Amino acid sequence: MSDGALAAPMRLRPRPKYLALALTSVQRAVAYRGTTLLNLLSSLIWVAMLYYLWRTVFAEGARIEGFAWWEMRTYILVSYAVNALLSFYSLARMTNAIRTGEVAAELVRPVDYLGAQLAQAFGAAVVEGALSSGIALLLGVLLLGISPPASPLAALLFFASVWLGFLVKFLVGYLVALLCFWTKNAIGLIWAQTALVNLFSGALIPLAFFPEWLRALALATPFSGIVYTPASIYLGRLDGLGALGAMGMQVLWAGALWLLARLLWGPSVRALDVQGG
Amino acid sequence: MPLIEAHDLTKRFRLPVKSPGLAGAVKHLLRPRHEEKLAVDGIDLTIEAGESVAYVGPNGAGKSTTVKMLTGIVVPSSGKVRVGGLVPHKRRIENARNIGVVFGQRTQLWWDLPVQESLRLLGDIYEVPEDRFGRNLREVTELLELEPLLRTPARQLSLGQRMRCDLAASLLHGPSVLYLDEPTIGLDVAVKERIRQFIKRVNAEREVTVLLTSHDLADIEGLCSRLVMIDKGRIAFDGPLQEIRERFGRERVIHLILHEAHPGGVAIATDALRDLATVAIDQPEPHRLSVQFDSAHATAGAIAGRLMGVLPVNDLRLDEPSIERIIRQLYEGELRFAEEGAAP
Repeated sequence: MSDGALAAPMRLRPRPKYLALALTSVQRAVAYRGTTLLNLLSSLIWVAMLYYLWRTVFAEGARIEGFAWWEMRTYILVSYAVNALLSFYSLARMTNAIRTGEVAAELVRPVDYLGAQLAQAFGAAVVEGALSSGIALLLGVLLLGISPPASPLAALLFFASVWLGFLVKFLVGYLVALLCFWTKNAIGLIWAQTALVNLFSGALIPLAFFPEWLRALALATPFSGIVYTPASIYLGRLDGLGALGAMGMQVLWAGALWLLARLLWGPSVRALDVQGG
Repeated sequence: MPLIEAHDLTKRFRLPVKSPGLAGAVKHLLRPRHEEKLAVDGIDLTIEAGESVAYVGPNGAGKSTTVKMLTGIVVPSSGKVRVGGLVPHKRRIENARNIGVVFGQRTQLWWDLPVQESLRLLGDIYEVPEDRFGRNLREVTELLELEPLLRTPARQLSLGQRMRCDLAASLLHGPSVLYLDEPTIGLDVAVKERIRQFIKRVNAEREVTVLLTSHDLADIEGLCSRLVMIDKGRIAFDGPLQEIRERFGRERVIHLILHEAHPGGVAIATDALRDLATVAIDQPEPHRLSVQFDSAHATAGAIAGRLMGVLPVNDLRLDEPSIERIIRQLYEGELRFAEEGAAP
């Protein structure tokens, strides 16, 4: 058989493996753009609900905890775009692999599990992020009149902060997935995690609206770095040292969770349940 | 140095004990009880490079658990294990570079990617150098006739096609050990044979060490020269396949078909064969009789000759034992190694 018989010539030179995993994930997200888009659009219903709910609350030019209506509607769209980066499906994929034992097939390959999961989640997030930002921008500019980032610097910091938030959200999801090595109830874990993240990240309600004690609690969790920090930077409510401090917290949390994930890996694998003698 | 070495390798699992029903579930929640299951119970196993070993045993005997310890996925409870000089669970990633794994029931391919993209991605993951990747890809594509399948997503492949692609995927990086877990399960006879030919060739030409777990005895006879049998977590037999035949293969069965129904057949035959070493005489139907005997102590000719004198024999057939029957009997506990006298 001649080389020419391989109809589509294949690349022979290897790519760095984590890059290859991330690119494959991009490719799959694009291949399933119908599904991806549908997910994003269905969560838009949520956005619409929040939008009309808050519009009623903000009627008659009210200000709540320093938020004006134009800020609130911007917050809603920005938090939607940010939260869409790591979809429910990316999270469910990790827990499912462990619950069904598919993880075994991944463990016989020479890849670091955490690294491989991050690469794949990142690849999907690039596509999901581009799409959700596109939708938010389109809707925001055309229909809802949302404002641009507070300043060019805020835009830059916002971008960095979004990806730090992504990393934190990913690590929380990864740690929850590790719990599946022990409990086999993945769905319950994912729901609990989604509820916690939605509440404490500020995806549902800006943390500024919380009572003092609850806000302090939320800010002390890693979750506030997922939505509240980037959205506040976007709006210019966090700037200068405040913004850098909040991003420092994101970095610290990402580091701590990464470390925790590393520490828990050994005991988790030891708990790996293998069915069938 | 042997390629695979296990010494006193043991794996215990803790399993929850739950009583049935809601009450049981609540009880378990309040006071969880666990029981220990000894999946692998102190096995010793040495495999040299280039060997081709069948690892067999009834369901739940500890086959998969052993393989998972050898691949580094499962951490042993105690004992020693080394593959190519590495302790697999401590150096999982390095060990993974040297091994190929095929699970018959589960694909290694990315479900929604065209096969060639899965292969390409595996080449990246295993960091296969350009020239070796090209060479290996050409070889497996040709031998397994993958060309028409390369652009098909894995989910659209038939089971046999998928298995061919999975085999290709497991060999692209040139592993020194290939673990095959039920590689022909659910395939039709022609495809099974093709897969066996391929594995045989990989073992002979590339000198890849093969460890095969299978319930398909034709796989075992066709591929392996050595058989390791595990039962209840312990190794029940380890030796050349040939030895099994010699140790348990002396038993023969003569089946006789009688001219007419002959209800007292067993008694007549027992009487006629009194001084010959027969093992068992059975009459499954009134006009059929079967005589089981040890070929070291009696000949088929002598038995047939005597029976033809006392019974209206129409036809007769001699059954020689196949490895298949021997192993099946071993599984079912009908044969015992210890009773045979010869030390394993």
